Amino acid sequence: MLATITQTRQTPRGWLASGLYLSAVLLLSGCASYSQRFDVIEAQLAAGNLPAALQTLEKDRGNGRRDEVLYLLNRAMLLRMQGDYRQSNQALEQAKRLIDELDAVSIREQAGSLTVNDTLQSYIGSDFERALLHVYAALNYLQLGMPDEARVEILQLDVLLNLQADGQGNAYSEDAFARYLSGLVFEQLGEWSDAMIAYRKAYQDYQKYREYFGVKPPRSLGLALLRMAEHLGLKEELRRYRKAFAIEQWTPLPVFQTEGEVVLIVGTGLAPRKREESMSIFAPGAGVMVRIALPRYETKTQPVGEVRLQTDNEAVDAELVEDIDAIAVKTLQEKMPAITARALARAVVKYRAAKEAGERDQGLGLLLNVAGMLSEQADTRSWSTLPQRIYLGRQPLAPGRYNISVQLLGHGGHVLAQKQFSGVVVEAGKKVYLTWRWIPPH
Amino acid sequence: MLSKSVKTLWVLLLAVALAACATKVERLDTEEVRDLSGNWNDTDSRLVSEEMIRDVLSRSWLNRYTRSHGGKPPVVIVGEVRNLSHEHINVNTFVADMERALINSGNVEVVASSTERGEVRGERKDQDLNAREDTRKAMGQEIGADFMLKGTINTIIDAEGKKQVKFYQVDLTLISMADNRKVWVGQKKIKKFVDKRSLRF
Repeated sequence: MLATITQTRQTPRGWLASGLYLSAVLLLSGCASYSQRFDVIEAQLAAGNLPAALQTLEKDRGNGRRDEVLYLLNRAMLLRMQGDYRQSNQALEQAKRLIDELDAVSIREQAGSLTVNDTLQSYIGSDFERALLHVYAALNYLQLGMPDEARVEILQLDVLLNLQADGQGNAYSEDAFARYLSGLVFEQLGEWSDAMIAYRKAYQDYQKYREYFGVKPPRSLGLALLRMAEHLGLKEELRRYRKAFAIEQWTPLPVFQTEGEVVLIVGTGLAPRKREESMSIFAPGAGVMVRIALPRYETKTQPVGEVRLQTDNEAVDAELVEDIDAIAVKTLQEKMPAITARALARAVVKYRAAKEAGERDQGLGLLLNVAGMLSEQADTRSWSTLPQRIYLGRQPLAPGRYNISVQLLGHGGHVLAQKQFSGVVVEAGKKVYLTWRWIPPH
Repeated sequence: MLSKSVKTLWVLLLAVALAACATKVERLDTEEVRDLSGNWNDTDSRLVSEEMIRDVLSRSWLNRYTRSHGGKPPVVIVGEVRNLSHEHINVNTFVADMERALINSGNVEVVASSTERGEVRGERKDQDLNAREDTRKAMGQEIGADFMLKGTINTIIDAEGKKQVKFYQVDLTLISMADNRKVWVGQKKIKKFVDKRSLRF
């Protein structure tokens, strides 16, 4: 092959051009994909070494501004896991501002994505990641004891979800868990009608969740709906929810308000990661086989069967409220036709460029071919520090101090992990948020 | 000659490489209006406080109070201004503006708010132990406020694609501590149309 290159007559400008292209491609695409680089952080998280994970993240912030949102989201999640809610929210706020800025279509990045690969586009998160950004910001504020600020996040979330809901045809256009949490925030602030509206939306969204992601409306949502519907005098709805949830007994709202409530939110595992899969495919535009790289979600096994919240003499089950595994896989599936079409178009552009160059100069054509192949990379970026699943449990308790233990049970009923919250102070009419993030050891 | 597609390729890549640029700083007058994101900013805060101050000092409650209390100015405490909007608004700036204008007008006295007085009380307690007796300030000598200033900031957002109409409404109320009477209600509305760019370089 070397012989062919030296034998051909060289056009200096052509060599310069392809040399520049090759070096630019290598510079831009980096050595390892985002997903591969995340392996280290995942291992550190599995070992329970949060500071190390945070350090790794800080050291490798990805490809500058294009990956900045991703870096901020991961940083926010790790800081949250460390219990540093204030700084976590700072990162989320930065991410929000940047997403807003990068939301406009970039001419340069589009060109890059059509000629080199999709990772040249700035990452602004998929729909569910952007909704969860607000959810986690709200949770941070709730845990800081700032419900009014959590309410701000809930309102921003509402604007976002309403905009997303315009794409009705998708499996994920609304976030049921986000709506449920919105209802909790409004309920805590005594805004009953807003709480009712949010709970009702959550109920509707869980119908869709049941169909697409296999998550059914939680019973605690049913109780909340019954309390609110009764209090607001919505008789017809009350009848419907009673039937749908098969609940005959609940505490009326005025009585409920004389007690406090513990709200437990448990995130388990790590969200699925995208991997690259290359395939050879016939490109109709060029009439040849081309190699393209596509992203694919790789889910991990899900060890948790049950989450149990236990106070001194009572136990309730926390219920599954969000299956991020299912949502991520489904939403990527829906985006695949567009991603594949882009990859094909890109392969054709690269093929044509190499072919045309090769007709004038064989070596140049070869070089462009190699550059084209090397640069074909799938976009494997995703908010990988999100949990795999989110569970929520609610336990009304009389005002006082409690020791609360949370147990994660495996599918066989054995205890996987447990955590103790001691001295939890419950006040009348208020909610205490307890959160726990559990990542199974390797 | 090079083919067109190869040329475009490397022109694009060169553009990517050269896209960085340096930070630029420019000083602005504090009165100057410059809207960047369409979010609540200093101009909104200033507009609200100016309007509210003008209003609160020109209304009849002030004269009525001073007349019926032998010329003694009313004492006001600033309560909570709740942010019920879509943004994390710093309400302290215009609350501080209002406090300043009220005090400087000379017609109203303002006492420390519930968040401030904790520190003051702590200091008084400390004086009790550490300060010379003739300079020591006694406890239980605080002035009770006659009125409390409270309020809310609300927003209504209507969004479609990249376009947004933002409507802010700030309501402030002065409530008589003696009998819960509302003696003054101030309101300021701000409406903005935000059209986010849909293209960037």
